[in-house]
Amino acid sequence: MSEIIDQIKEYFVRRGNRILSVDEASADLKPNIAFTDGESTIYVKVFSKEELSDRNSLLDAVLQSLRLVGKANRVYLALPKIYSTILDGRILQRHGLGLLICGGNGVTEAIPARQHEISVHEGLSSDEMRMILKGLHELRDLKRRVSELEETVRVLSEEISRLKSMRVRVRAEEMKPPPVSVTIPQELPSFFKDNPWLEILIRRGQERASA
Amino acid sequence: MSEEYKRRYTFGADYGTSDFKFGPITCGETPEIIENRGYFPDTDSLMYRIMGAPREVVVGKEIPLYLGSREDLTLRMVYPMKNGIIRKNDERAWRVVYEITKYGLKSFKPPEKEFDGFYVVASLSSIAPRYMYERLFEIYRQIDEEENLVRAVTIIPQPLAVAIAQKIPTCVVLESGHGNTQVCPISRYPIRNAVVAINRGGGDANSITAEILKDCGYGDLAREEAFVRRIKEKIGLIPKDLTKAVETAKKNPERFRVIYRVPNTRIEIDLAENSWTRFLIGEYVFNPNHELFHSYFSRGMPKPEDARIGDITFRGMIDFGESIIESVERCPIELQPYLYGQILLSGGNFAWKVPREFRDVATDSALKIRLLLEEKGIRDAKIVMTKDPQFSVWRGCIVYGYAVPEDYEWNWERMEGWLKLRE
Repeated sequence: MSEIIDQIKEYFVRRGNRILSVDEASADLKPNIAFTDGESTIYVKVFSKEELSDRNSLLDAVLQSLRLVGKANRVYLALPKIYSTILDGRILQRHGLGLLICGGNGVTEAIPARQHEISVHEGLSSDEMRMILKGLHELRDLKRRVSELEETVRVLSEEISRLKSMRVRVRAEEMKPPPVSVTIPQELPSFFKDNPWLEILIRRGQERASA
Repeated sequence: MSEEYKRRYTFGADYGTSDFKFGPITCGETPEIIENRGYFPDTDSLMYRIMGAPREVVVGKEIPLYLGSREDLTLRMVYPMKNGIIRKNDERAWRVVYEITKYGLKSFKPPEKEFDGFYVVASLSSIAPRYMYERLFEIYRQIDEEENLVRAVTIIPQPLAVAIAQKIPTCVVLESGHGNTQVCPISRYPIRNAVVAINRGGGDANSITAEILKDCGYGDLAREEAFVRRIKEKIGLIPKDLTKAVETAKKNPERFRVIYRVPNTRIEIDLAENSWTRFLIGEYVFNPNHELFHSYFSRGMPKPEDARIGDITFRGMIDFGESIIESVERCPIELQPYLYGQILLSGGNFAWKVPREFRDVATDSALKIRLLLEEKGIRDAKIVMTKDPQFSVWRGCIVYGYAVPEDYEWNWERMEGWLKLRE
């Protein structure tokens, strides 16, 4: 089995593909080996001579491989050379499943796999879908909460502005000195006239107290 | 006591270096003036016996009646505020202050029945230490106990009073008297920690005048201070630039020659070819650092030294421009341009004449200060001479007493408010 897998690896790597970790393959039904050329993914389901003891097991192998179609861009069924004559290649072609024949001469691509588009839905497991849906719900919930918070901030901001203006008014009223008479009687000497110090000195004591 | 009462009986008392200016608000534009001095007569003298009741100290206009010989004068005549500061234990000086204060208050005792003491605003030099305030308050308390003349008293620095009289709330006041000069920034309050005191005043201009007179052969006359002072006032000139002025005067001595005849005497002063020295008299007050003064110092004329009186250091050789900058730079940066924008020159030491024919080389105090500031990079400073400098402080005291509320009590931290002498 490992010998076949090594042959397949060599076959695809030589063609510019990179081996994908099977864990990276997002499918319930995992392939034995997976590749990517950077844009599309290739899944290969490998069956050894030992696994294909009877006709039913071969049919099962084909069905398992078919289940991978749609989960990768291209899906291959890899069989020992001896089984190539038993399978009707047209059925595989109709379902877009490729066939690799592995034997003493290495790997032969008997039937090229058809290129499939992978739907998001198809590329995701049900758990992942659940997680995404859950995430979407949470996102929606967060959006709602952010909107609520934005509204709260807006209301608070308005409230603060209102309070600030009230404080300024109150301070201005506090600072406003009590009305004092700075009317200078006519008989006072000339150095009293238009003297700005009168206003300043009349408030001595008051400005200290308010400070 | 009501605000109305306080305003009616506001009394100003300016303790100047030479004169004591005093009087209530009813004096109008000008106060009463007596010389700030006291004479301790020789109790054995004939005049003392003739004048009747024995008096330990004589003040006011009676002094000439008691004067003895010239030698007696230096011993018995006391000018308490000669340097702006009275030493703590100078009992004779404090005695004179007591006498002139009492004299001033009694001179204006109102006849009205309702009169129950003045609200006195006294003014001291901006460098007066706290003990002077305490002692002066005590003097007023004593006078009130004896004469019932003082209801409340406050003391303000003279530069603040000048700024009030000149109607300028933000300014630098440069007050130059006989013995010293003070630079005090004001921004609604005096900025006390920015005050710069200078150990130079009109007396120093007298000193250089005396030296010049000696050099010109009038050594005998140079010993009489009153005479020297008169000569200084008649012949002294402030140069725009001392080097250039001296050069100009030396080239053309006749142009600057001055002959002064002392009225009603045979005395005639002629500086002849030394007439260029007229510029030294003015320059010395504003800036004694020119090399021309070195020869006078080396020949024994005392150089203005830094002096410490109380907690204050009086700077000897700092020029007036530098002293203003030093004072202003102790104030907040934001305030500094406003302070340079209003520099008030106050005191008799700034009253220098500029004869029309010498305007190319001589100047007045305001322009001289401007030139000194410009040398140090301060441009656009506005310098003005105070109007009626003799009365400025008293006027400021009257406005202060009239306006500051009666219920604003004296506080030692703020150094302002009314100290009530009675319960």
